[in-house]
Amino acid sequence: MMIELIAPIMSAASKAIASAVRHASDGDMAKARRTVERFVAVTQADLDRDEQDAMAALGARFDD
Amino acid sequence: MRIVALVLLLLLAGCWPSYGRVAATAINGAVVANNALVQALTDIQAKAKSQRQALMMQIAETATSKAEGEQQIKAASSKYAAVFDAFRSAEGVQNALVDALAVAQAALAAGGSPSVDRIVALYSKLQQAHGSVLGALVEVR
Repeated sequence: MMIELIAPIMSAASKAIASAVRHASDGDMAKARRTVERFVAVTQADLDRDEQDAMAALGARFDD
Repeated sequence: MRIVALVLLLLLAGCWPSYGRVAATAINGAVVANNALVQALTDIQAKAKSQRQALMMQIAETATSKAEGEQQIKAASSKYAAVFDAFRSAEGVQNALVDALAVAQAALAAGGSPSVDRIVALYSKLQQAHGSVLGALVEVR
């Protein structure tokens, strides 16, 4: 009810945070006080390794 | 104005009346929202990496010549470059959000009432970065 009243002046981020507060369990909120998760992007070295594996598989088919 | 709206919402949601308590609730909410978005990014990234890998291996197994296979593997790799650039960009924004949340949590622990403005702004940027990742993925499909 309240979120509908003021939603037009809230940013998407504010809405998401308010929604998280409304839907989080006590356990989620307690965990939030302890743990902030961090996103780690795949490194270029990881991507290069996948490409090298594919090249090796290709080579295995043709390099005899 | 948007920050005022968030604080107002939290006040109306039953966090009356201390600003410190509202700030604590907003910051904990931001952590929950951050953690959900990190999980979403992690899952999408794992799928994107797996799809890229599968595409390159399929090329390796079906190419009619080595030269053609090499060219197609390079092309597949290039096709996904923008996707992984978007993930790295999201990582940078998310790291800034983690730092801001850590500062705010430390301030709360010390009995202060930290501002949530920067956290909301960084979370907004992270949402945009997540959108960019999804947009880049649509481009490769």
